[in-house]
Amino acid sequence: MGSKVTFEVFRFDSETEESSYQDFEMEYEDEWVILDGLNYIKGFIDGSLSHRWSCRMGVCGSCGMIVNGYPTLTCSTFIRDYLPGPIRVEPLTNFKVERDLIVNLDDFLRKLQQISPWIVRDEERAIEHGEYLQTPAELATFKQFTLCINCMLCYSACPVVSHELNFIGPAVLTLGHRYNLDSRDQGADMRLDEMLSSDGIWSCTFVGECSQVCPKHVDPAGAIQQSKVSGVMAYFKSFVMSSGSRE
Amino acid sequence: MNIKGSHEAFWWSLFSVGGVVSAMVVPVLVFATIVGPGLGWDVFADAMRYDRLSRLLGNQLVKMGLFVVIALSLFHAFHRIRHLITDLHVPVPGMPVAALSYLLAIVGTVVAAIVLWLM
Ligand code: SF4
Ligand code: FES
Repeated sequence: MGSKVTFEVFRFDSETEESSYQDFEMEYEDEWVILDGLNYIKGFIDGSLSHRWSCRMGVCGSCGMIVNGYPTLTCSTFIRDYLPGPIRVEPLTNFKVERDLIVNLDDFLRKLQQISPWIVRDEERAIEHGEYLQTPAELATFKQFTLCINCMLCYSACPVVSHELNFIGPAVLTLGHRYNLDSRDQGADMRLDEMLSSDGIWSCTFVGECSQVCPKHVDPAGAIQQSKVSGVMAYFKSFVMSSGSRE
Repeated sequence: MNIKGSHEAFWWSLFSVGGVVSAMVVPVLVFATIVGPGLGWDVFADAMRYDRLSRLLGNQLVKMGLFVVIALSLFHAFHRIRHLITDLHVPVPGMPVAALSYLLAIVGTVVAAIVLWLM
């Protein structure tokens, strides 16, 4: 234990609907991340503090919060980078707060389902035919987009999410694009129906904040721009197809 | 496929091609016609002489090229402005802003066509 730091933590009680900021002063160690500070508060100062976390290694995506105004993965960010403090910790913006630092995930999970983020086949191959093979080059087209950990930092950062509640949003659109690019998948038409809808990619104004805050360098803004190109192709193709079918 | 997103794809395609054109061509044009002569560089100042320029602009291909650059840049710019209004959270409904933006781009395009035609 060494120097001291103060956390200004957002507190919210959904029963009384009251919110406030509470200061917690603690001694910290040099290798502590923000999440360690929160766990210390919960363990030794105030057990009523509520926050989500699980893996502590930037994999599960559950510890995203706003730290000093910026969407941050708290298990991957050192206290020492914010000195001398105080360090303000708040729940992710653009989500409904359940309690303290915990936000409601229902909307996000609904959007996730909406995009069918799994391999869709017209007809499943029988097991005895073996696995669906894929070359390294085919994998490379979408591998980066598989690295998302659903931390939702990009939803907090996105100015469109903040005023279009139904906007499918960066991570989910990226996941849709990831499966559309997968050579084993045949569900692109179905997914594009959602992605090209009024809640889909066209609402994105290419601010690019999602890619700035993404801790996994997924580049959702890039994925959405790529799907816009696919969307344009699908749009013009639909005219060719319909004029073809009239003949 | 049922494309519910109406004609956003069309406007975006103009925006996107317009972005490429205005990024690649407009700086060159601005340099050649304004900055270069302004700096007093002979080669540009020479090229900007009235008789040369009016002969150049009399060429149908040059007119066509200019028309494409102007029209696409307008669609690019107004699409960006439309979305900037959203990003800045200006409290106006989206639909009229979109309609007005593209209308202005269309008006600009028509004016450009007429001016080039009459030249
Ligand atoms: S795209 Fe990046 S910021 Fe968004 S949820 Fe996935 S990992 Fe988090
Ligand atoms: S605790 Fe799992 S990503 Fe931070």
